[in-house]
Formats: sequence, C-alpha cells, structure tokens
Amino acid sequence: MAQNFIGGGGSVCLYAFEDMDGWLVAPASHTKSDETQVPFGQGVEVTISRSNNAERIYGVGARNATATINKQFGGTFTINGALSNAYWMLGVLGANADGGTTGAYTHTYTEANILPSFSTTTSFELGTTDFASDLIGCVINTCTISAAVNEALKFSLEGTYRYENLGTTKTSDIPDVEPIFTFAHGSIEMPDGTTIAAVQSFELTIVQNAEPVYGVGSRFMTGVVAKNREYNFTMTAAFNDYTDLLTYFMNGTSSATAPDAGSGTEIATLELTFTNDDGDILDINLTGIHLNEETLPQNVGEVVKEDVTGWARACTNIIYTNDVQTAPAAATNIT
Amino acid sequence: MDKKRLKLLMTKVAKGEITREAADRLIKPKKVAQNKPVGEIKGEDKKDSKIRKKTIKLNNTGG
Repeated sequence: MAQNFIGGGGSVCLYAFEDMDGWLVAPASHTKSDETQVPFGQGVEVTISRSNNAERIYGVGARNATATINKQFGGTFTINGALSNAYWMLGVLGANADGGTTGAYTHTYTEANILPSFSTTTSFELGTTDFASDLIGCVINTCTISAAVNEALKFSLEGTYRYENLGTTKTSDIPDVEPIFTFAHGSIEMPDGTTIAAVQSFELTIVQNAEPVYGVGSRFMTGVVAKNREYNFTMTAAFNDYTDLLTYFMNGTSSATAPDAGSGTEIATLELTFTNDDGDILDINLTGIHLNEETLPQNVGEVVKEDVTGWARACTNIIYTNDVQTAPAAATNIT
Repeated sequence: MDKKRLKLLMTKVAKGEITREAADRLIKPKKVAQNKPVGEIKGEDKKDSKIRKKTIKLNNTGG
C-alpha cells in the first residue's frame, strides 16, 4: 500500500471528556480519556494549530541569530459543524444532569466554574503509515451557535490544548446519527412567551475568557483558568413592529416611548428553542438580557430589517433532549 | 404518547415548568377501577339441584 495524499474525508476527529485529575500530573502523564469517543456533530471541519512560540536570539557581535529557543508550547483547535448533538456543551458550561424517560432523555447543562477538558483524536488514513494525534487537555474558550434563514444550525468551538501524542493508528470514524437542527426548527422568545417573529439570523457567542497558565519547569500548560464569562448575541429580524425589539432596546419593555433615563430594565429571559425532525430539542435559556445596540437601516432595494446586539448575564440552563439516556461524561482513568 | 410530545414534555420537566409526577400522569394515566357493585348476590337453585344455595361475593372490581 502506498502513501497517499488525501482530502479531509479521509480523516477523522472524535473526542471524549477527560479525568480532570490529569491536570494534577505532568503533561506527559496526562492520560487521554478512556471514555467512548463521540463525534462533535455532522459536517465537521477541524483546524489544529501548533506553535513553539520560538524566538531567535540576537546579540552583539553578529547580525545573524546565534540561537533559537522554544518557549511555551501553544496548541489551539477550531471545530465547526452543523449542530446535530450538543454533548460538547459539557465543555462549554461545565455541568450536566441526565434525566427524562425512555425515548425522551434530557441532558441539562448548567454553569460551573471549572471547565471540563477533553481529549480529541484527529487521525488520517494515509496508506502504508497512517497518522493520529491525541490532543490532551482540550479546553473550550469560545463557543458560537449561529442560525440564519435557509441554513443549518451551526456551532463553532475554539480553544486550547495542553499536550499532544503522535501515533500511526487511524481511528475508525463514528458518524453522528443525530439529526441536524436547522433554523426552520427554531423559535426565539424574548422574554419567555413572547415570540419574535421573522428572525432572519441569530448568533450566540459564549466566551470563557480562559487563560492558559504556564509555570516554571515546563513548556506546557499547568492549567486553564476560566475568568469572566460572557454571553453575547446578535439578532436580525424583519421589521414590522417597533415593539418587538426597539422598545426593548429603549427600556427593556414593550412599551417605551423614549430611551430610559437611567440604566433601564433587564429583559428577564431569552429562550432559543430548536426541535429537529426526530423531535430532539435544544433549549437555550438565558437570563438578565440587555440590548446594547440597535440598527434600523432604510434602503429602497432591501427589506427593512432590524439588527440588535446585546448580552445575557447568565445562562439558566441548556437542555438537550434526545433518545440517548446518558450523555458523555468525564473519565475516571487517572489515579 | 408520541415521541415528539414526550420529548417536549420531558424538556418541560427539565426546565421546571411541570413536575415529573405531573408528566408521568400525562404519559401513563393511572388506571381507575370502574364503579361496580360491592356486596353479595344471593340466589337459590331449584329444590332438586345439588347446590341448593349460592352466594356470589363481589369485590370492588366486580370480579
């Protein structure tokens, strides 16, 4: 068998949540998860970037560098796809409780201060000698969920990883069997019970402001600290009622006639619900909503659409309901 | 209950909009016995019958 150049279809990317005790040991001993690996979704695209953060050493006596040193190892990942399962939400919010009954199991993700890390295996079928890389200590820094008319619900996960082990065993693919959520499956209520009609697009970005911590004695991260958390969103809706968004921008209610003289009132809740063809539900419940910017362009050649940007102060929960009883959970393979 | 309604119901339970007990009642309504008479039915066979008297006891399910 020869060595082949391949397209992305000849590669695989799967992940499993790790034992957090791995962060207590040296990077080389940070064992990858032994939990069953799962796919991130369907239509997945993966970009792994590595940096030695190398530096050329210059000094008097020579124009050329006299040495090169490696500084901190920097590994980052970006994983995009069509949202068909939300199991990775454990790495975004931090905690999960499974519930429900046969045929309708709920996975309720809630906020935690420590972000569970996961091991990601990328592998490539190259022919005689395949290639695989286990990325250890993957922590999600930014999660974006976006939806627009005529599109699938999409996700994007960006983060950093701690360590990496290379090998030559290609992993068999595990295709995601969960149906894809689409924008047509969605509804947006702000506050709960008040559906915003004719939403054209919505994007929610959850930012962890996670900072890798390095220490003396190692090039590799010793931990990742999730600092202040942000839930930012943008929304565009076809305009036919100024009380849908504009009055909420003015004072947080549907009855404003002028901007609030003070800090205004928070909108209690914002709920995004998507129900796919299988009846699976992704229910995102945000609270403490504030609209920060509003734009209402008038152009003879375009439908009048209103744009708003804002944020939520917190996420009550994200409930993912499907047919699977137990969502992927952290491993316990490190003693 | 069809799967889609069941998933919606369980999501509402997870969200705290309804209790699990209420959801269970919707999923599988409790069987309630029909109202049947409770007591005894006494009958008397003909004089030439081997069993001269017969008492049928009824329980609350009518059996």
